[in-house]
Amino acid sequence: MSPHVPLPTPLRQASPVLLFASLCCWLLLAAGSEGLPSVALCSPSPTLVTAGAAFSTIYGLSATAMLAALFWILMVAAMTAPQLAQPISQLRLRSLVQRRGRSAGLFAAAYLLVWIAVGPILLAVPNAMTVLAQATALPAFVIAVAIAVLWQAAPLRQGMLNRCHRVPNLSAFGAAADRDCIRFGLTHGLLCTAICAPAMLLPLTAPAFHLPLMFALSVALQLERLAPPRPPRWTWRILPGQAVVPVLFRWIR
Amino acid sequence: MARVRKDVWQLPAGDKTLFWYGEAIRELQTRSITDITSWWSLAAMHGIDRQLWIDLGYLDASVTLPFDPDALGFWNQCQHGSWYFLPWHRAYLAAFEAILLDVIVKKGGPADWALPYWNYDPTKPDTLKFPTAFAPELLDDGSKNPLWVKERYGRRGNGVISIRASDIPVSPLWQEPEFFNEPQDLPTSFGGTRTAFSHGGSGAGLLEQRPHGPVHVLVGGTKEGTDPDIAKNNGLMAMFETAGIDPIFWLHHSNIDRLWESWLTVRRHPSDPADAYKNPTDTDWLNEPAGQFVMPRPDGTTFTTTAAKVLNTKAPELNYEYQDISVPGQQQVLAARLGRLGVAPTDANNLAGAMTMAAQKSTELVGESSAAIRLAATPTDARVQLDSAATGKLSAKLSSIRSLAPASAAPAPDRVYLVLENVTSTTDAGMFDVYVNLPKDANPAQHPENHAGVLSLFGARAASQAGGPHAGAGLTQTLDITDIVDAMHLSGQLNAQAVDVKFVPQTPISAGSKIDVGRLRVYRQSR
Ligand SMILES: [Cu+2]
Repeated sequence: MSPHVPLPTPLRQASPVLLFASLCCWLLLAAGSEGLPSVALCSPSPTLVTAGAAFSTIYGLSATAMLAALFWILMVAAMTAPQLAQPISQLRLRSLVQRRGRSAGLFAAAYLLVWIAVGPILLAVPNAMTVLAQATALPAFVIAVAIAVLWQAAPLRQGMLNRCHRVPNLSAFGAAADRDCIRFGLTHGLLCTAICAPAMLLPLTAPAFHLPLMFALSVALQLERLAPPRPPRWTWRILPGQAVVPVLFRWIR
Repeated sequence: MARVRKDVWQLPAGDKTLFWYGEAIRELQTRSITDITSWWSLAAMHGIDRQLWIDLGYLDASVTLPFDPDALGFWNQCQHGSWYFLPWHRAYLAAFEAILLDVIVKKGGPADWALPYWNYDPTKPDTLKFPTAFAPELLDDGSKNPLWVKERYGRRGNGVISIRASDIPVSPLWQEPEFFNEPQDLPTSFGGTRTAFSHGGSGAGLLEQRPHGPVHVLVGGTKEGTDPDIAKNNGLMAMFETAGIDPIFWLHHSNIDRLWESWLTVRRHPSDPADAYKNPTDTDWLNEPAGQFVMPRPDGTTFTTTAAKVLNTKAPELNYEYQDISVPGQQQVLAARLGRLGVAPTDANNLAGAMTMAAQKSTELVGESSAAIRLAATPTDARVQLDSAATGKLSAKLSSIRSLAPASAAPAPDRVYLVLENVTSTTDAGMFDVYVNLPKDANPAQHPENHAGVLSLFGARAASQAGGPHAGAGLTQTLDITDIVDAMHLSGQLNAQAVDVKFVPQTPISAGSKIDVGRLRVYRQSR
């Protein structure tokens, strides 16, 4: 992009490297789900995740479970990599030059760890939803939409989004610096999972449109993360990223 | 001809500018807060706290307000901690001025009336006094002076407003060529950090940090013997939510706006191009956030504006210029610095002119404090541990300046900043002197060469609210300590393991106040 064409504020903070990494993961996912239709991709599959048993199957070296875990990590990387540009640039500014790579690595590893840990829980939810759907006689997808909408409108969620904009308080030296980068990664990971998980119920309860829904959602959640902080209150602005879209639209025009 | 905004200290005898200002204030104060052209609604646009206004007697509790006083919207609109600080306040002042002018003309006043400015010029001690016409409660005829408000407590709380030259430095502004900085960089730019529309964030630029903040705090202050943590004990000027009620607020911001015009004329070296200092050309500063700068018209309607529409003050919509935008205290700072770093005096000036901006700005951490510092009513000491690799690199770069050829187009030597990050506070009305590397047991006042600058807490309360839009991120302040670090380098102290920082309170701080500096960091920046 020519430096004479100023990017709008929301895009300024995007990192080309992370966007590229994310794109690669998406392509792998698309290719993988084509070639391996038998592998349940994050979709509710009794063989894969019954009551969060994914980890035990991994340790049991079940090939399907290994593959599923790999897919899950790819999916997380594809969806979240672009969102890490902002925290990583803040972390680099607060790290000694010789430690910048190490700091970013520790942060990313801790962040990914949180997603891996919540994976089995998240993947077990659709089963619970099916039970709930049977009990209430409502389609599971409708229940998922209701939960996601309620959470989108909640002040607690806006408060978490605001916290994502907070710069990290990091030590510069020695073991304390490592510890703080890991802690920052864990906190950021927990905030991200809490912010995004309810919306992820949508693709999980609509297996037919799993990948396209997941992709659309990740773009929307990424835009939402770039929107400025707002006072945490109940809101009608529930479409993720809707505050940023007009800015991008005016810029393109 | 554009109307001229005049220097309040240079009004000729018999001048009527302030008389008409007072007449307009009287009229606007009779209007109800439900009228968007009233004095009260104009002040609430900057900020309002319903209970505080009621406690101070500026709001009748029975009035039904036209806007939610807790929401950010038409009210609570002021932009701080952001690159919109200057354009938003310019649009705000212009809308205010238009409403006053309308009243003044209807009362038979001059059609060329313009808002004056208070130029607290650090090179002219007399101008640091509080403008005379605003001080007395009563006028000669015994009527209430419309320019007076009770809640101006000053530095020590006794109503004496005293400002020192070191509280309101302007020469660092002339050294800073960039209007804005990116959010992933230090807020060392003139006009603030690239942000979205932001009511009180942490990205204040240099002008907003100083002299803007200290003047707010030093005029407002806290009533003697009371707790600054309780908002109603503080002067109006000390808080976003009340500042606009004080008539001096508008002269203060008129001067801040004037300093922006001055900055655009700066050339650090005679060989620099005339537009060396310029406004951003990014469309997201010029045209965004679309529809969110909402201003009232004299007829009670509103309009939206943007930075792009307020850049030319002489355009018909704004139609003003300043009596004087000359740049005080502008010297050949870079040449003098090169001289101190060992460049021969005959070469220093040529070298300063030949030096270029580095192709890529780089900001590197040099050192950091290990924990948060709680500031108190007595001086507080903090220690910033330095990284030996970083100080070694800095030392080598400063030493290399001596051997540069006189006309080499090398980048200017690194600048060094002390960054106070995540400054949170239970009061807005506080100010501290910050000293770096003060000799042990020295009297700070006797070491101006170690004075890094002042830390003002204006806006800290809003930025500290954990549940607020900024999630309690607090303020960030950047103090240029280049000269102090140069002196350390020249005396061979730059290989030290740490630098000491001392915070000396300049305003009363209560025992219960929680004023914390989350981190102190030292950075070097080359560009
Ligand atoms: Cu102000």
